Amino acid sequence: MVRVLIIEDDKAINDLICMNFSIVGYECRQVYDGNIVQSALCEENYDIVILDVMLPGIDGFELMKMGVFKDIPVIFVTAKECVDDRVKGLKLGADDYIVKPFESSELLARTEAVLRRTNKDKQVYTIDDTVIYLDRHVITVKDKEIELTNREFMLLETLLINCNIALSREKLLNLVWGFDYYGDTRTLDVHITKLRKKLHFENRIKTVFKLGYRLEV
Amino acid sequence: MKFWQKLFVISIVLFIIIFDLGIYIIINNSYELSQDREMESCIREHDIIKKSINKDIEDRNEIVHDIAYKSDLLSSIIESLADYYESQNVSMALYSKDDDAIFTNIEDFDISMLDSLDKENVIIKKDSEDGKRYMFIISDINDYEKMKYVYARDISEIDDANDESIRLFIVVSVGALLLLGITNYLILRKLTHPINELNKSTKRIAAGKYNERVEYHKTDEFGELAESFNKMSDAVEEKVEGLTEQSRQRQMFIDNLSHEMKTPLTSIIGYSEILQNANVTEEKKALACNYILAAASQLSRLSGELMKLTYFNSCAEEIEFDDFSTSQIADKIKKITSLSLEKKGVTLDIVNELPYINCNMELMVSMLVNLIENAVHASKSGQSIILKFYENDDGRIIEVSDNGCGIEKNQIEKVTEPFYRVDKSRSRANGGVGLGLSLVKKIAEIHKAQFVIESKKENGTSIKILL
Repeated sequence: MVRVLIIEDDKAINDLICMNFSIVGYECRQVYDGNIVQSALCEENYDIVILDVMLPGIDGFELMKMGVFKDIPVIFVTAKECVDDRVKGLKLGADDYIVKPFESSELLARTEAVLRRTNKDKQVYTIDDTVIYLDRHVITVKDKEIELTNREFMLLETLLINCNIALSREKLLNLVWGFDYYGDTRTLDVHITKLRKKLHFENRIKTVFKLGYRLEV
Repeated sequence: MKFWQKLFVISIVLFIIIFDLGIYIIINNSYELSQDREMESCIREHDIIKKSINKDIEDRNEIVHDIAYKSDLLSSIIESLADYYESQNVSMALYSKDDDAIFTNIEDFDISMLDSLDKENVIIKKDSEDGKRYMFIISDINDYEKMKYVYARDISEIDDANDESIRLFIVVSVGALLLLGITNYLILRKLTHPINELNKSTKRIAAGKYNERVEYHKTDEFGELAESFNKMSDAVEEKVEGLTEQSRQRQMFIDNLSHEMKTPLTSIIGYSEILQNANVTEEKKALACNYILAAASQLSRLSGELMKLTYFNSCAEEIEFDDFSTSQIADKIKKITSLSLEKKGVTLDIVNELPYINCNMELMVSMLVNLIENAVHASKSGQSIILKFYENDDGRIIEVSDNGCGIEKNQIEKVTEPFYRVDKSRSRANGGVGLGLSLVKKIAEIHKAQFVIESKKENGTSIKILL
């Protein structure tokens, strides 16, 4: 289970981040004030920190300078979008920088990427009889290895990272096939059908009416 | 060409023209004078010699008919004189009526010159072939068979002296020119130095060093220029600082505004996504809806306050003022604030010592409501807020005071900045957008009133509007 420390003074945003992470199965601790970050860090261990810059008490940059997070990866979430601030944040040792307003898929993808870089993400998912080893690109169903094409694997990975969140067909095409893909959405439907069949995910990968697909876990 | 170079060239040229021309005229004049003097002395000498020849001839007083003997006689007379005068650069000759030389020790004498003799003495200056100059005086010794006497004097000495003067003149002139050139250069460089300094300073200021000043404290024109220049620099620096500060504030306003807008936007986008895409419980859906609603109304309030601020900034002149009774204003305020006062359990006391004030009713009410709302947020249940209209030596004063949490000293200056919040999360929770005191300050400005904040942490805040 990935443990996230969310430091953001605006309750609405804090809850929003927390809600998104909860949906994909992360565990969150919410902190609203720069002053209580240190005590929160003492109480528990975290895999990743989501940090706002403008905070009451000690601000985000200051917290980074103080080095309170040690080797926990940090992602800044802030409305300050000028390049100087981004550079400052990254120079202070942040692993990534997300500018408000952001979309939840961006937040999740970036968090996932940072976790993967720092080897703290979940590499093995078990759903029903299916076990997915993300790092090794291996999938077994009832201990029997299943062959997946590269695209199919990327699609599965994307659905896994955003599990319980519906992704539109356009978004899935963007994330899996890339921004320059102008093909038919039917390609996606074909891949989804194949995934369902190969992994016995008929009831797991749900079609969301008029929108897209969702992997329910 | 630079200014000092122009001055330099002009003075040198003027010097050459005036000095050299003057000296040349003097030399020429003295040459003429000495030539005249020489001529006079020649004439005198010539007369003396002639007289002496005549006397000698008279002394002999005999008419000699033998031409050869006569020639010898005359020749001997003149020879002794010629010998005597030779040392004085004088040569002479005697010619007979037929232009035959009876005696001569003049070298290269052009006999044709004798023809020019008429009645008077003839004075001729002529350069001889060897480069010497002679002055010839040719005269009749009329009594004696029209003999012609030639007096010749070598006057090269005057020319030599003149040449010497000219040489000296050239040396002196060149020397003086050099001396003038050097001193002129030094003086001009010294005199134009302040111009260079001014120039350098101007360039530095142009390059953006607005605190640059010229260091030149003399009372001459350059001193005055430097002083005026420094005054101008002061003005420029002040203006630039003002503009920089203004643009900094504007940039800050935009930064803050974008931040203020992004937070509710993030909520709206994020929660909408959750509602649209995620498989979440009804409870969470309701929560998301609430957040979206809150964020949207936050944005709506923000835009409303911004509109007001923009309106006040652009239409301040069009706002009308009138005398309004303070009790009327107080009643309105009571009505508007009663709900939030009740909610928090705070009381509002009104002390009214003024019958009326000159103001714009709506703006005045909105300003005071704003201040009272702030006071309510700062106060605890059971405390009271005082709204006081009174007059003292400072003039008419409206004061809103509370016994609430107060403001830190270093924050007092900042509270009127747009979007500045002493307590960010509490302000947002109360639905504030961070423009309240900016609006109050603006309204005070429109009323040409002073806006004074006095506050002590934990002791409460008092805000005075000095009308």
